[in-house]
Amino acid sequence: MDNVVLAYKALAAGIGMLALFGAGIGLGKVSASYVESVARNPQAKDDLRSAAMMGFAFTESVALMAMLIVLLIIYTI
Amino acid sequence: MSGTNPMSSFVVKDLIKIKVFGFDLSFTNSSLFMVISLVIICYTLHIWTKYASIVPNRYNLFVEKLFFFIGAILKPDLGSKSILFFPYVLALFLFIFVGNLIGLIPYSFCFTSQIAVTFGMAIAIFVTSIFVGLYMHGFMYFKRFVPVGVPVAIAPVLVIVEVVSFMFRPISMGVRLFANMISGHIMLDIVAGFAVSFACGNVFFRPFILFPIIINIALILMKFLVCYIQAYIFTMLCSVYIGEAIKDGH
Repeated sequence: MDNVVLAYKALAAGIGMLALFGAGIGLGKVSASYVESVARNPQAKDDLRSAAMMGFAFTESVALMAMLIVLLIIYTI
Repeated sequence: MSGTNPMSSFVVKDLIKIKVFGFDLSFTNSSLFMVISLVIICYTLHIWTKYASIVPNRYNLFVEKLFFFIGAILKPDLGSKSILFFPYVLALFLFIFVGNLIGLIPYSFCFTSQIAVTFGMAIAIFVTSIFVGLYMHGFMYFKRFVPVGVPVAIAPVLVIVEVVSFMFRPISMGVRLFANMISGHIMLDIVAGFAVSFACGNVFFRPFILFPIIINIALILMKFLVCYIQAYIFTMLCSVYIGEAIKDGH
């Protein structure tokens, strides 16, 4: 019985990490637009870098919230 | 896999048990590392600015750069009021940054990976922004929840949406810092577990132990960047929220 519960927990954790799909698209869009705007205006590189870093961190935090739920599934419930 | 629980490094242990009127106010390892980080911040800032001269030496210059950095964070949002919140934001940035860095030392405790700590700091910023808004604009502060130029029919729905998104600010702020810290530590633990299982396994796999170690070194270097970015984002959001409270009220 216990093994079945553990197996379903692992399955649920794997499904929960599907959130990385969206976060990956978001990170790709952030870096793509960063590279594109640097290519258009190389002088604005320093200003754009901090904005891009902020975008990376915000998008990454979405994925980390999914990871938080997965950890809750594995270790607490 | 190492077979151990990766969450074991985040367990809060009581060092000195204190109970006041049924409340648990024990001195834990989390509080111990908070005290250590405060001592580090105060001592270094004191020593580095003690022998200040007209021509600054390199330590004076570092502290000066730090002050300018925090000023540059505050200036676009707060304008002329930035000097009022400067000490608070500087203390917040240094506390989070040093706390994140202390967590990287093996066998130490990362207090920013406790949701109680990060959520407490986020709630403090949230309450500060509300009080600043009420102080600056009085009751008109609550006008910020009513969007300008929408039909009367859908205004109540939008007010509810605005209030809910406002309430979620401290939650997203606290969870962002906490989840970033905890995920980095778990990643380091799991990659180190690969090294352990290579070492304990078949003799022919022993040379592969180098790969997890190299990856771990790269991950620790990346964690330094994450420590800095998370502290920066926390202070920047703090200044954005307080600046919004000052400007709002139409």
